[in-house]
Amino acid sequence: MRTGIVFHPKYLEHEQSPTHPERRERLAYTLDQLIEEGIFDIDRIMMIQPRKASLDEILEVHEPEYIEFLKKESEKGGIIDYDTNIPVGVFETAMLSAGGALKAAEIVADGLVRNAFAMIRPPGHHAKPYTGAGFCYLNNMAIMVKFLQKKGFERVLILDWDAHHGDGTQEIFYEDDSVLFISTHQMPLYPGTGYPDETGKGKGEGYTINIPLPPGTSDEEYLLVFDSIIEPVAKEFDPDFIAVSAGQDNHFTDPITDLALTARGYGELMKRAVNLAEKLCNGRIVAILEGGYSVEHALPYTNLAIISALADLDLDFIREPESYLSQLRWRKRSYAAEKVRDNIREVKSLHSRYWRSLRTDG
Amino acid sequence: MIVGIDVGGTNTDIAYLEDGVLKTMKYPNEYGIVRILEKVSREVNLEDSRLIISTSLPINLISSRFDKIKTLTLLFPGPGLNYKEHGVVLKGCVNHRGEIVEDVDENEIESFLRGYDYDCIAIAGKFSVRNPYIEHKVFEIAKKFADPHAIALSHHIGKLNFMLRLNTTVINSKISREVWMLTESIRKFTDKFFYYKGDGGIIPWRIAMRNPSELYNSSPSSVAYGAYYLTGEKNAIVIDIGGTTTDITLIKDGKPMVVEDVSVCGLKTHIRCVNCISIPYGGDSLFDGELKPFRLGKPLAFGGEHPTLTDLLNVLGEKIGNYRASKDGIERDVAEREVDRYIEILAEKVKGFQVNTVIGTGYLASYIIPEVARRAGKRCIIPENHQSANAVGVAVSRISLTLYARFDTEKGLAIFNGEIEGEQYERLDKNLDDEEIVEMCIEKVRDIAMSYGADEEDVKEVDLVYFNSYSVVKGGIVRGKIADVIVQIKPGLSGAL
Repeated sequence: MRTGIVFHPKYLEHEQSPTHPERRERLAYTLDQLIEEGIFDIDRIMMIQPRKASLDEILEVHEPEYIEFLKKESEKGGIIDYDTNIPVGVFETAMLSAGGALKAAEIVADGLVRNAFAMIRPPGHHAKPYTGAGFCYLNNMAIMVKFLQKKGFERVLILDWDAHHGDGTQEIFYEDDSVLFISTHQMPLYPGTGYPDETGKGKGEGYTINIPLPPGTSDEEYLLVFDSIIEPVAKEFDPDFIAVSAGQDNHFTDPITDLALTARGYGELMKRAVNLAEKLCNGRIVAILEGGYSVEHALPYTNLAIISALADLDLDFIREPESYLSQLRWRKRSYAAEKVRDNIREVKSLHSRYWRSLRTDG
Repeated sequence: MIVGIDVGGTNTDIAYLEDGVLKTMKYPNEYGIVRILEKVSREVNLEDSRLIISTSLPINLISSRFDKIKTLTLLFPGPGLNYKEHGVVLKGCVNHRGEIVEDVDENEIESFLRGYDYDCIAIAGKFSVRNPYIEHKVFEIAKKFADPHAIALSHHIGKLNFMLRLNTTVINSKISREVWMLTESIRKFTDKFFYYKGDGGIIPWRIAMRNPSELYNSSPSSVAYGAYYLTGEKNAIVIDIGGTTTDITLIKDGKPMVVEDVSVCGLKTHIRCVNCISIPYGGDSLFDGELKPFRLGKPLAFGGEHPTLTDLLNVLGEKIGNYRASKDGIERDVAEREVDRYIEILAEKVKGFQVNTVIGTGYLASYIIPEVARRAGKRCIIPENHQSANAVGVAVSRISLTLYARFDTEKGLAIFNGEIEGEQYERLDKNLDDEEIVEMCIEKVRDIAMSYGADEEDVKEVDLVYFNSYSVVKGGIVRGKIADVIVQIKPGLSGAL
């Protein structure tokens, strides 16, 4: 069993501004940690170069007018929204980022590796067909899933556990019953969508599952959500490919969110996802980096957690340094556990008409 | 005067170079380095010479006694992968920014130092290259329990990759004491001598003592440079027949090929050295009906008690040493078969190379290599002084220093590798750009090399081996920049010749 890590030094170059939360050190520190751990010397881990996405591949998701706009503005610099400006040259990097996701899907689909992690920047899950948003330009996840569909995969499960709701991805597959989109995210928080009653439309009704989480949600609740909703529904859906928007801004040190997941929690979550893939679809799973802004205190450890879980390495020592743990005590909320249980009940009751596995009677 | 010495597996070779005139000598190792240096010092003033030593000592120790020298490995990995099977995992941790995020527990460390049986200690902390504080602190404790020269610290290796650093530190711990004893013997004659590295560079002995694994494969490397110097052939296969092994290296554009992250005894390490194919037969290889891949002693022709490859050549009509002593009881056709087998092994290896020229070095080169070259269809050169090409290579090389540097402009610090002679920390201007940082390192490595007596011509070419920098942002403000830099003076022949 081999795990691919898709990475390119160009992913370190993209920057809206040196102080923007989505800045280059996000991967620079992570890379230091991975190199220091000797991750790339481990036989069953392969470092893979991304390719560039083709125009046709991104046009499967995005509208030509938006792509034209992005390409042109990227030549001289521009702006999409308050959080998302267009630095010079971002179009090329975004194409390489989308290409990273495509490459990850390719090597898993072709059996070169068992699973893969696309350690890419800029992220993508807020990007919609007609615009970028929330630090995102091209929707890497959606572009990858469209590619997989063309390759003949009939049922793809997208698991989006970024702290922010993956509104872009949700919108793109909202009416598609061949893609099951499950998102956990902090609420209230940008972009303000992702209520449980957003369940899909038309043919896609029931194929969007939103599980909002209150500030202070920690490892135990995340795993509870996984066990009580994600796993049963995933088994019922029986995907032939699993794709994870593996945002890491739910870490307890993230400066722009209020969740309380730990590095070990990430590892356990990813391990459960990997186990699902092993059970349901020959291990085919790709994790894509999305958000995550605690560049010093979280990302080196959470990215390592994700890779360790994918490569079936020992998770026993995956953790943060002890001196960071006081922040966890501030972040954790005693009421979160109760609120998460309420939310699980609500999601189950809303979705029990689509999913037999969520019915209390069995 | 430049004096190059190669302490090989069997013999010690010496080359003097003065005003372009070369003189070489060879002594058996059993004389001991002190006696040999006494002989040398009768001819040259070692205090006033540039003395450079290449040695197979580490390689021999590692191949013959690796498992017998017991290492206690103390690890400080903090969060991350599981290193339990590589040593004792203890409290204490430095993060990727070089901050101490968990301190050590001195009692815990002492209890392990007390509770184990060991010959030497390896101490390795994650990210110690970014802050050696923890390793130093543990060293101070460990010194109470063991000879400080049998303790190796990982940060001196200077590169990221904890796993490789820890493996290299284990090797360093096993060879440190012996290299230190050799160093002490040489220091009786002069305190300012250099060691020759496995990649052809030269480092002051003080730096070598901190990371003796740098000496690994220094003999094949010196042979390659020596063969180039003696023949002027920029592209060739060099075959060096030593006492215990025969080493094949390729030189391309006047330099041997260097490989990184070399595996030693199954451990992947940070060792960077010349790429060399080593065949376990040499002039002293035992013959007991067939050639054996080891040495029991000298050839009969040199007063030994068992026949060797050298004696087989005498049986076939050569006149090496006291050749009559070789001939007792060995049949000619058996000798022919075994020598032929040895030549065939070499010819097969040589055939695989694209290069057209073979340079033979070592004492037996002229008896063996022409036939090897003929069978492989290559041109053959056996240069003058070929017997001591290794020592010649040592004498003619540049002082090729490597400098590892880490800049943290937020803290206003530059940390230079080795912490030698108080140059570890330097106050910095906070607004350095990347180019200025690299320039500073290049100047620094030149200054250090010249302070060690390097020729001005030799420090002109400096390679930027590694560079990485990024901004440090806290509270929405750019606070500074962190940069890791590795520069090295290009190895090669000294221009001062």
